[in-house]
Amino acid sequence: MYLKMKYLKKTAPIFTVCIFLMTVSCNKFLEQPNGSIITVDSVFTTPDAAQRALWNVYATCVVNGFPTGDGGSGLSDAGTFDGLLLAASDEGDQFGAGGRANAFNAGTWGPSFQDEFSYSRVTLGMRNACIYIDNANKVPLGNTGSINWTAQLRNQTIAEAKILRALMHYEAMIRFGGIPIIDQTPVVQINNVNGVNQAQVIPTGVRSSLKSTIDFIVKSCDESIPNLPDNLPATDIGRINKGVALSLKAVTLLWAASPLVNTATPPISSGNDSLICLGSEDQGRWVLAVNAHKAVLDWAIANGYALLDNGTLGKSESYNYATGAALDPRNKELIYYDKSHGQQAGGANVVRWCCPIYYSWGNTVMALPMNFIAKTFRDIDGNDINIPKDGTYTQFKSIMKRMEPRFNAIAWWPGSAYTNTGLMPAQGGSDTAKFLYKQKGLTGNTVQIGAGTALIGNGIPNGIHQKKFINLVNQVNGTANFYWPIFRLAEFYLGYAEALNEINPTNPEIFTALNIIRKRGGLPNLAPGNTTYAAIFGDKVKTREYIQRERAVELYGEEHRFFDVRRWKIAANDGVMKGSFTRIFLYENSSTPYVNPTTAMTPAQRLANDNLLSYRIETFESRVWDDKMYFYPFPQSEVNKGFIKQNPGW
Amino acid sequence: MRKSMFPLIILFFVHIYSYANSQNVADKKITIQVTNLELKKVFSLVEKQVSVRFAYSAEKIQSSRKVTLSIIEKPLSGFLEKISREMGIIYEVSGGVIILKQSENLSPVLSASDANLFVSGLKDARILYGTITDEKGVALSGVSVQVKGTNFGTTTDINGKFSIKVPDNNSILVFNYTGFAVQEILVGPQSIMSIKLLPNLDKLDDVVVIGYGTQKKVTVTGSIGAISSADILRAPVSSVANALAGRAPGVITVQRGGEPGRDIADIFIRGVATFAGGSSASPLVLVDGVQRSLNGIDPYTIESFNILKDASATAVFGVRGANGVIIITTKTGQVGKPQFTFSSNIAMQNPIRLPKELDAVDYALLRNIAESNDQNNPSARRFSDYDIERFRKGDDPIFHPNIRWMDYMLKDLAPQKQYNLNISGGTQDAKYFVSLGHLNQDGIYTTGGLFPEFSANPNFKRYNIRSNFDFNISKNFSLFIKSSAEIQNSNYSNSATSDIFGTILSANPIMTPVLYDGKLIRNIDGLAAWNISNTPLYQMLFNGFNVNYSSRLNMNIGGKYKLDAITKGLSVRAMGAYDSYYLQAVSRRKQIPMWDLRRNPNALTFQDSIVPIPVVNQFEGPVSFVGESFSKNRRIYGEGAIEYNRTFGIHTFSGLFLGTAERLYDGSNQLPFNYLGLVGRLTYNFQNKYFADVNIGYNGSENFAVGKQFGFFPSFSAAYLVSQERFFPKTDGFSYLKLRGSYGTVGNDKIGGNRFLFLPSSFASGGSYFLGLANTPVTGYREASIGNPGVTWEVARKINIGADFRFLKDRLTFTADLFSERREKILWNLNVPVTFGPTNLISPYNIGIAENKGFELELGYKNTIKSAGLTYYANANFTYTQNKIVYMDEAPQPFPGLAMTGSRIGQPKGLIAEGLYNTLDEINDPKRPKSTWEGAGLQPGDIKYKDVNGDGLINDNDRVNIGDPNIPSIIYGATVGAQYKGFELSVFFQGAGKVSTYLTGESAWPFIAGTKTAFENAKESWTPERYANGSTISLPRLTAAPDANRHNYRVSSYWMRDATYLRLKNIELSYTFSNKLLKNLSMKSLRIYMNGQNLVTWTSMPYFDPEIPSSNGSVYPMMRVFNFGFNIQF
Repeated sequence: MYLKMKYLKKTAPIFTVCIFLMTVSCNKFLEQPNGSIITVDSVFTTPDAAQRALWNVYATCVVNGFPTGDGGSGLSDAGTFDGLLLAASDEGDQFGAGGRANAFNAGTWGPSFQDEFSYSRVTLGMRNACIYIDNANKVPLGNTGSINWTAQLRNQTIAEAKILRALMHYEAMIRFGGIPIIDQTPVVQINNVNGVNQAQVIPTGVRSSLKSTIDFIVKSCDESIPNLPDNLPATDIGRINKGVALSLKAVTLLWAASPLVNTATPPISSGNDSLICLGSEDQGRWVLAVNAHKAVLDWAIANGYALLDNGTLGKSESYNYATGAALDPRNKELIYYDKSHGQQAGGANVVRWCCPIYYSWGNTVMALPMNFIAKTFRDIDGNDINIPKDGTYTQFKSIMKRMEPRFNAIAWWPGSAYTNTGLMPAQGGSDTAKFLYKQKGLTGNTVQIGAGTALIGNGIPNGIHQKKFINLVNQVNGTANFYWPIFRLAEFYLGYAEALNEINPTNPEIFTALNIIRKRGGLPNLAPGNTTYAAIFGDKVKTREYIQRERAVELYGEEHRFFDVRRWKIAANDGVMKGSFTRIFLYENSSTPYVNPTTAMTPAQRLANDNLLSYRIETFESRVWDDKMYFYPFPQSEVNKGFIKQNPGW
Repeated sequence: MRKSMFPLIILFFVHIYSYANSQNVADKKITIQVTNLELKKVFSLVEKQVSVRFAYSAEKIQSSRKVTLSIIEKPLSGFLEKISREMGIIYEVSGGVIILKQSENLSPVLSASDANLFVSGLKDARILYGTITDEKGVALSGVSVQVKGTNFGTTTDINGKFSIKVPDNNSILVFNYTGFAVQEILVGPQSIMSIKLLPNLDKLDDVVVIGYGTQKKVTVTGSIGAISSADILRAPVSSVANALAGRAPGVITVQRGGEPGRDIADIFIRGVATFAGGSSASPLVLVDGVQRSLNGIDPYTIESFNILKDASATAVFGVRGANGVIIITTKTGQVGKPQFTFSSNIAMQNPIRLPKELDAVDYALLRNIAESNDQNNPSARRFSDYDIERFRKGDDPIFHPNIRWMDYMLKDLAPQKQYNLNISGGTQDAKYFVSLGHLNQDGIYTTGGLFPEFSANPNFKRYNIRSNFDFNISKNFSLFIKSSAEIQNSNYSNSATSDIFGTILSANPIMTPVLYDGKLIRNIDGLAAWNISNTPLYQMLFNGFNVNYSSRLNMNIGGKYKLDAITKGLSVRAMGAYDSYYLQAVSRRKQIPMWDLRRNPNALTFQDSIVPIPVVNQFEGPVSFVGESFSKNRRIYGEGAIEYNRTFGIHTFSGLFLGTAERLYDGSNQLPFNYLGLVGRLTYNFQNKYFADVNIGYNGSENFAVGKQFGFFPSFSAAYLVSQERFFPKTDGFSYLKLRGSYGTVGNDKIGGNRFLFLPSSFASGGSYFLGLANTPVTGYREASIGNPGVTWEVARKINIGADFRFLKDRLTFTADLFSERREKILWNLNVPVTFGPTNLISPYNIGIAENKGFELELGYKNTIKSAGLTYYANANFTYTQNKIVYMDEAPQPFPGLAMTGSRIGQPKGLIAEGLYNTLDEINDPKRPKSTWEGAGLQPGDIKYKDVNGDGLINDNDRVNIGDPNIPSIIYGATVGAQYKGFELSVFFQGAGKVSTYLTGESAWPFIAGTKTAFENAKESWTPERYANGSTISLPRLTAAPDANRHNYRVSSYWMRDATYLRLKNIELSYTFSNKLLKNLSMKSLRIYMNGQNLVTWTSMPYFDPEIPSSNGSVYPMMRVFNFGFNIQF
């Protein structure tokens, strides 16, 4: 016993140390986070959580042409960094400090300077959609109380994600041509190549051919259409329905049939032509486009969609409401629009950057070039307008007053009502008389007539401002309760007419479709007996030009013109994306000063006062085009990574 | 060391025995131990031991001759025989009387004058007595005294005295004391010794501190460096880190600025081998075995400072060792009476290398040139002749001021004080070292205290308290407790230092008279374009001040138990540590009143014409509270070990098995940081000739996935002491040669500071959409992170080959080390295409590979000329490192020069400037490459860049390597010193090479934003006249709009500065007073000294200290320090 004790005593320190060593080797010591992580498996366990993953797909697969403040790294398409895309084509111009639209006109945009489209945002949306599509099947079917998760509902949500994913591919395709197709959740693999670990992403970042890209979008639509409902309950407005899938398919096929890509020769040939054209011209592509558009129109009629043509609103305001007032119960025209933003507060970016009068801190205005007005819009009778280079203010007003109703929904000209009601009392008082003119002749100082907040600009910014959408700003508090139109029914009548004309210009349905547009636009029908009809009927080229012009008016400012002139391969034409652009300005034609018109003036006094001003149309800029601009350059930082093949010319 | 001081005849009459029963007088035993004692006195000693009397003629036998004797219990007859034979003396024993005569027949063996009688004989064991002091005569207690080759040993007592039994005169005593050279002395006949131990040049020659233990230096196989605490103390700096540069090979330091308390140098052991970013290249710093900050340590408490460099030295630290390890050990008490040491230092700091800003006249003249250049109009100007005349005459200091901001804002001198009092002592069983330290360092702002309520001038105070105790509980069981408290109080302007200096570097000389009638002036009438909102003075004051109070408590408790009872050489030990840190930072501000000065043209007098107008809403306010923040952390550490160390004949083995656990709670609400590990070490030593070590670290942390948490890091090393071989010629010329080699792997888990990257990809709430007519917001689940399940530490494979040489009786030493490292698994971002989606969410992967190679050389020479009392020495060391990025999954670059792969880590890239365009012909040459940034076109005086890729364009694709990284590849130091009598002088030079600093913005470009200031070199800007005259041209043509996007100001070699430098880093001159003088003052020693730091710097870098970071120069300047101090021991 004593010996044992002695032995223990001697070895006790060893035991102590051993016990210590054993204690420290216990893994519990190395505490790690657990349970607090939401993994993909925990998201796709219940329908409620899975649905939240779907909302994220909606939140990241966005098409929005309003400047949202998200800037270059913003949503997939948020204007042109503090501006509207219309200012980057012949539809308009951006005047004032800020914004990047003019880079497109000046030809200074490029791989390192392109703030219109964020490819990373689009690929984020594609990935999120893939995550949903790849995992939705993991959610067990059943009724959880809040959601009755049936196979049908599951398939419907997968179809929604597929359409959103395809929409992102479409938005990228119309800019870049063939793009890397993301048809499954991208994963990173580390591969040992020659002894070093290289990252590889699957699907790869290598571009697919244009044909494969188109096929992928069309296939996505075809797979989804059967699983989507025709109509959604009021609480689900904003989600994808069958019409959206049909629309996406139609616009994709129309784009595929268009001269830019439906050809063997791309604008610039580079040896990788399959990335930017389809390799041959094929009339069959127009047939596919016709059928797809017909499907949209048929579906629309069957489900109560129609152009907004409300007698109370009148022609001009019907058109105005149709383009953005998505939640107005009278409006059945918008098939899909952006709901990633709710109602925007007063002073929201769209108001700030695109509205010349509302806030004094508005930085830019969007203007309409006079040459675009002259070649595109018509007068109330549907005839071309003629605006001489010089004239009096009175003459100018009389021309403007005779313009077609849609022009009045789009343009704010000196002396016209700014908003649909003519007043924005809280902000500028009566703005009917608020405009700029030059004192004492052509080269005088620019001054403002009318009270209230100063207009921006240190000259006359073209004289005619764009006011589409802006018209819908709440007059009292400045909130913006309008939504970016992604698919609007009018587009499909125009597309139907366009495609049909390419197959058979004598098909009377061409004019049936056009007349639906013209009727709401307040223009006389094109029918036998009408001179225009007589001049173009049966002539494919003239009819095509007519349809193109009608499209420029009807879809003004909705991010169509910018792509249409490329699609039609007419961007290089003088006055489209290059050449001189003109604006109008007013000036005092004598030494007698023009005065602020008042309600006390008699009509004769008013006229005499107006006659103190003259107008002149002058060139304000010369625009630059290069055929490489038919396709966007991929961001240089991406090209530098070595996966993407840059488009030719860039 | 003077001879007159030397022969202190120390007489120790210790004990005398005589045998009472002895019959014959001559057989009676005597014991006599004397040194240099007169013979006659020896006789009287004998008379006292034995009842005899000596009778002699003093003159005949020369009885005043001095003799040294050591007789222990020997018969008297032996003594008589010896003096007879060796001194030629005849003796007769007659009863109780011994008669001595000079012999006429026998010639003496030794000459009569030889004092050393009886060199031989008396061969039996005896007791030897002695005293050990240091060079200055201060007694050393606790010195190990051992008879070589035996077990006999003892240590000195508190008075430095010892007694030891020695077998014979041929015995050799070995004196061993930490910090001093081992000394071996042949005993000879002497019985009393007075030994002075010399501190060796290589002060830790005997023992070096290694990971989790110590090792005899001779057996070291790896690469371990040391910096002596004396060298650290020579530098009058606040942080130990700032005293290291050039002191030891392999230690690369960069001190980026000189602000009190914020001037801590970055340390890199053998350079940088990772590009993972953050502090991923920093070494592990251990203080008394626990990871702790180097910064708050009182240098007076440092016993040893060791640097572990190669894999064999660092493998035991496993995932934390790859960047090298610094081990600091604090002092322990020495056996003896309490010894008080008080040191006091008073220093003045003085900013070095400040930019010379233009005065008002030059500013106006040169700004006019810039104006005419910009407008391309020779008559364009911003300052009229009238203005320039006012500046020149200085007759309107209010509306035409001329402020030299550097002078205005900065003092020439700022004080710094440092004190330390420590008490050390103890017995064999309880030793203590208690230290109190204080540092107080002031900043150099002149006007920091303009308002009495607060000071914006930096001030840094540190209080250090340390108490270290060692106890021997029993023969086998010892305990130690080490505790320290560091308290820091500091005060700073609440404006960032970079903002203050950025404003000083920006402020032009004419914008404000700064103060008028005690008022802070913002703007003045006239010269309207030069109005500004922040003067440097306002910038310094208007944000108020912040005060930081921090305290750090560190405690180690440990014990060791010898288990010789189980098997000899076995022991166990354990140590626990607890550290606690707390910081409170409070900021307060006071609204500073600002005034504008208007001129009243109608005033009658000049005084009246100056009208101060208060700036709206800029009235003086009370000091108000701005914010408060707290930071705290605590660390708990424990280790336990089993050790074995035993020699079997010519084989010596040692083994260590140790476990560690560490937990750091970092204040904020996050999981603690933990480390767990095991350490193993086996060493083998054959005949002190062949050495082999295996070191193993096995450790990990919570930061890696379960199953991948622990890494295994082995290292192998061997050494061969060639000079021990028989075939090695035993000459004084070449006395020592040792070859060393090591190979092993070490890890680095400082991989960018990211935690838990292994976690699976996670989702979080996010992504909103609006549904339905009511716009009901819905929130999605978005991906929040994309994990890297295999994340792991960096792995370094290190090779070290070294050799140690000694020549000229060890006076000349030379060490060379060659090292090579390959660092793999560096955490780095993948090159992932945007098609992946959110590329920013992907965790970095362990894909990077880098190499780092280099060599270290160390040379030492020390010699003592005893006759002159002079000791002199010289040391030099040199380190060269070069790293390379081997692989980083870099996106393919269009031109090879753009690639970082293959470049050095931190390699700057830019355009190559090939001088300036000087003529219009050059500009208009159609072959001239067009610059992307030339805007309206280039002009003579603009920079000519090399079209590297030959595409006729100058753009970003022409960038290539320019200059060197911002951390030096070469660092070196050299010391020369001498001791003469009480004087000691040491001179230390330090330098760095292969390093560049990119000076940009305010530090290099005149007139930024059109209003900022310029330096004197703006006078050397390109002008047609200067070009025609062949004058020095150091800047391109002046412009009032330098901007990084303009042609001349693109990143290019034109602005890249060679930051190579050589400094006279330190000089110290000291005098140690002699003992005699001190005794009267009851001091043991007194030393007074003067030293200086950063005295002279030679560099081609203009205006700024070469160690500043690549920047716009807005850093607090480096300080030169002049220090006077004394050190007293009681």
